[in-house]
Amino acid sequence: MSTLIGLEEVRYSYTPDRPVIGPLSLQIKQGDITAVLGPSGCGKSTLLRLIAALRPPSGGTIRYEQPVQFGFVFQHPTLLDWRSARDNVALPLLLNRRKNNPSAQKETGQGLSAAAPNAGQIADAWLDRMGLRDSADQHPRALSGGMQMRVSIARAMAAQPNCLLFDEPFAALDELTRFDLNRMVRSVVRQEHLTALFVTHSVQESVFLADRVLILPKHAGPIIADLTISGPAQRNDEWRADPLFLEQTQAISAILREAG
Amino acid sequence: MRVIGSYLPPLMMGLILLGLWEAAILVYNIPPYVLPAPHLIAEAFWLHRTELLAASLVTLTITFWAFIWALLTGIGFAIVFTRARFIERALYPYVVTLQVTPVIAIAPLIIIWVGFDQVQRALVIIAWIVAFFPVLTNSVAGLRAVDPDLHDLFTLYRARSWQRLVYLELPAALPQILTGAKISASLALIGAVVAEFVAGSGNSTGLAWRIIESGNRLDIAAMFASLVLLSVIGIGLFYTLTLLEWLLLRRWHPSYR
Repeated sequence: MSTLIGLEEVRYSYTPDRPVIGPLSLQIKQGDITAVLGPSGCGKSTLLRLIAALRPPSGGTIRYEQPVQFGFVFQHPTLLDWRSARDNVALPLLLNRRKNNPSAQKETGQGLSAAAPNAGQIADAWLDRMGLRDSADQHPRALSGGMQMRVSIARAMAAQPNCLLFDEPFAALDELTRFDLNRMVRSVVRQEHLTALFVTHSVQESVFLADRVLILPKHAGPIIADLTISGPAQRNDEWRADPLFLEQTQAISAILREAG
Repeated sequence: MRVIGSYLPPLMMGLILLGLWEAAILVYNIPPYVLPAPHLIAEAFWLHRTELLAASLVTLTITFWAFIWALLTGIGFAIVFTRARFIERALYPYVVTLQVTPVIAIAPLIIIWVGFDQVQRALVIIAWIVAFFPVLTNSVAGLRAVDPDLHDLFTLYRARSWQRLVYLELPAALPQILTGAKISASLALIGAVVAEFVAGSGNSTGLAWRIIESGNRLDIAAMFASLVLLSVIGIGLFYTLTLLEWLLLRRWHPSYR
């Protein structure tokens, strides 16, 4: 597979004497599902924002070898409380209308569905796929935490990204919901042939989801470990009980413990 | 039943207080030029009803326009302040100065500057000065309090500046803007009354002028009638805005859970 994004000697610091990340070099290949692990405060979330060009790096270069459209799933659902689930999912299409939806350039002033006839349908299709067909008209506050997260993922998918970035999105959810969403994320990413970078502090989550695991050091520096996960392509709860799964989680935990 | 339950206690309390008031005046023999009985106030209201309602309309008009200008300028300046920090730095001290200087002290100046032939306009300006500040500070706080992750989301989708304002910042700030508006509406009424007091005789025909004029004639009952009307206007403004708040926020805001 060809390289999608290349990081070379990338560094980031809030103040010159307090480096947070790097120097860090790394290739992200198209179709990779990569988990990023590391102690809290090691700059995992910041790394995602550097890759998405939401922050400029303090040094080094980030090269995009192919056109990249990012989808970002934040730590919290970060939905607009005043919009229905459907209108939240359609938001990227509304903001980026000219780019994503050339057929609907004219503002009709009749609200979202009238202004961009496709946006509502695309949103509904993604909500349906996330199992939220009946909640499209609900406002976020009427939805559970897990449902809000599904809306957030549907929103990230609506703009047809080719690279999805996840910033520890399921940390606040109960275990069963988290398992559900892990399965769903892996299957969607694979079906849509996306590239994904998944920041987490859960070793289990990383081994369940990813084909590759990166471990960042506690203090700024190069990547500690770049591991390939061996496991089936299609994963379900059986994978969690597989000896190979347990072996790999134990190995990664050992590295993390050593990293402090 | 629930509606009756919430209106009944204050209504009962009001009737009891009015009864005690009437009784106290009979028992202690208080003369009506010190404290008129409630029935005398009602009589005065009926007697002067045409002038009083006309005066209410004058005060309400001043209050209304001062409030509308306070909203427009308050939100407008808040948008400018949150977009351009240097403009905020340059202007904020003067806005605060305008706010902390007692308006009653600058009111005569404003009336002179605007001109005695334009008293109505001067009164609106004075009331606007009083009412403007809470809308500004609440709007600025609301616009600033937007979740940084949501800002990142809008950046990710290359939102234009106006899209960020219309789809993110203004709706997110709406609860705080409405809080500011509620405070501002009451202040606009206070400003209107203060302005009328300063403008004095002949130039103003609002409720505040009615109060001065009744006082000069020792017609305390008529004074109370004007006072009651002022309260009614204030309560009306407050509940109109509470209703507006409910209409705009009930579907999504946690305070209406």
